[in-house]
Amino acid sequence: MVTARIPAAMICLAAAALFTQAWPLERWSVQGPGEGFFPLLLSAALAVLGLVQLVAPGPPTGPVPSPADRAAAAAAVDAVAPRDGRAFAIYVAATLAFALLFTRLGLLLSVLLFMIVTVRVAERRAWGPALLAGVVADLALYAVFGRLLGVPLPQGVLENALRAAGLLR
Amino acid sequence: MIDGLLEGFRVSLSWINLVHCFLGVTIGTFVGVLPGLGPAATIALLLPFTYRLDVTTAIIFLAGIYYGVSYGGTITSVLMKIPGEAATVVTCFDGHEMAKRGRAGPALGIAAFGSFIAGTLGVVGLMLLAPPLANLALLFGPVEYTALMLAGMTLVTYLTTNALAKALTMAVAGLVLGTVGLDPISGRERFTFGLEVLSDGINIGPLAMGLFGLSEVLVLAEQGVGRADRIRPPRGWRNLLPNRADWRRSGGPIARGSVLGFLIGVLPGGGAVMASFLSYAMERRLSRHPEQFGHGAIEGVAGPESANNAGTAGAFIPLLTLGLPANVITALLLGAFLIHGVTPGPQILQTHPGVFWGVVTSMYVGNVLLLILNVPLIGLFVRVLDMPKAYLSPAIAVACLVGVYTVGANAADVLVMVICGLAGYLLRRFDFDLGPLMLAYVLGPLLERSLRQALIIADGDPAIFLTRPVSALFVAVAILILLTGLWQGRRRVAVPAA
Repeated sequence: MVTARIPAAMICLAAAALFTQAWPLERWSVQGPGEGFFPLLLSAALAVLGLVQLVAPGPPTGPVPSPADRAAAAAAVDAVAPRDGRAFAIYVAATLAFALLFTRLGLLLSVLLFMIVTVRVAERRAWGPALLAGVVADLALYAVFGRLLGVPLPQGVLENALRAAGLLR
Repeated sequence: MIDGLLEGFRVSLSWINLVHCFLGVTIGTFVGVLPGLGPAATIALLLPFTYRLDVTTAIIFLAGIYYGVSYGGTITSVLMKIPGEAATVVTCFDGHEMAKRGRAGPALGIAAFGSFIAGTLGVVGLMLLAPPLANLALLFGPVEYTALMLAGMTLVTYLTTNALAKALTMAVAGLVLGTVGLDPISGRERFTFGLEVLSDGINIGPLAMGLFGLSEVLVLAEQGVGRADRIRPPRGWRNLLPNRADWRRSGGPIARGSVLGFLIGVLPGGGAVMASFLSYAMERRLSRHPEQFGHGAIEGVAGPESANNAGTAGAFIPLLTLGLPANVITALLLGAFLIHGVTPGPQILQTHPGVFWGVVTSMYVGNVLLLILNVPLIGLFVRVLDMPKAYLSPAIAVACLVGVYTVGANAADVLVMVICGLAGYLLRRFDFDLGPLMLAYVLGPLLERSLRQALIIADGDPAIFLTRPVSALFVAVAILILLTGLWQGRRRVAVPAA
């Protein structure tokens, strides 16, 4: 029950934050509702919904699947193992690092490193396949976005090296 | 009309127009598969290539991209749970579940055939009903739009299996996200915290790809090494296409989705996106097995995909007959018309009948080409599922990261997508459905603008929503849907623990 109330508490906090941010905006003028009108309405709605869930989080809801559906689902869908926090943390760190660094490192190096880290470290595959996955991803993304669609991609160390070697235009 | 139709087919089936139509749907399908780049960006990029073409050929080419992208987006929604564009978000719900159960082929097949049928019906509707429907759309003012959006929002109760309070919370969250950026009426910045990247609001690309695509990768990553290594692709050609039972279940949704999508597509604003969500909600409401929705119900693919494509045809009505674009894409097509010296509007049938009928009939030709192009390739598309998840998950993640960047060459979009991905993961962990959030995010700006304009018209008196007959009808529908949702919520039983 405590776990179920955590999101509700977060919703109430979000409502309060939204109210705080929306209050200084113009709520109503001679011309009618201002830019603060709608967000204030939403903050009120969010507060009500948060309080409702805080007071009565309710049981998990949803219709009961039929025995045949449950059997089919169990047979068809992959069995879920205990949660792998390590792999999850690596994926989160890798995507955040990519988002923050790829414009400085250049696209090719960023993609290569991302694939190596996720395939080798998170997915626990061998170095060879991880490196190959990185190279294939680099080639595919550059071919499609860089050459075919002509999208300007972030340049970096690897691009400059390949250009110097005459492998990239 | 028959003469016009025959003339139109003569124009659209000429070699040059046929080739350009094929090019358009092929490029559109390819672009639709790519995460990030959507129909608007593609049409904008390729617009200069049409300058030297005849106006009919140019519009046929660009329109082909429009509905080609829609099907391409369906492919990634089904196979990888990455919505190629906003209108295919709904397909992620059940399409991907079907793929996980080894039914990717039937999902893609019913989407292709359903889109073809809906597109055909849409073109027929366009021919027969264009002028009267266009005039009807003109009757919708801010008051009616507000009530329509509210009725659309209340359908969130049918988009989710969860508690009504949670669904409404997600809807409100989507509305809040839609307020970030410039105020639609005054133009002042809201909730940007001084960040230039937020002055244009949160783009739908990073939001959709993060919430659905990246969050799915994170959920899979958390499942760890105990999960099966591959999603099972269908085996044998019989399993690549819908069977009789699939068709029996999909016939009604396709028909209903076609009509709904066409009518909604005529209205400026939500168009195909709103049509696909409404169709999903309607099919879930009408289904004898609503518990199957979200777990691979083919109706959840057939209806929305049909509505999506029919909405595309409907969006052409205000463009061709009134010269009013219904969405960003038709606005670009209007630009293409004007560049070539043709002004769409009520007089187009008199001044340029060949252009009008050529474009209308090319939509039917384009749907045939889409079917011919994509159905034989279903077997190839589902091969993607053969890739071990250890490689597929990183590939999906990096495709999202790069794809979202290419839309506006904006590094901030990538960070926004990652944040949305984390948020999507957390919401799913706490059992919040993402569908209502997306619907509300799309409808939110239009709802706010219409609401404020309506209150300005009424001098602040909200009774106007009840005194205007069309608006009162939609308000009554909204209240009825909410009350039904509340009543059904009390009757729902808890899902037993596994």
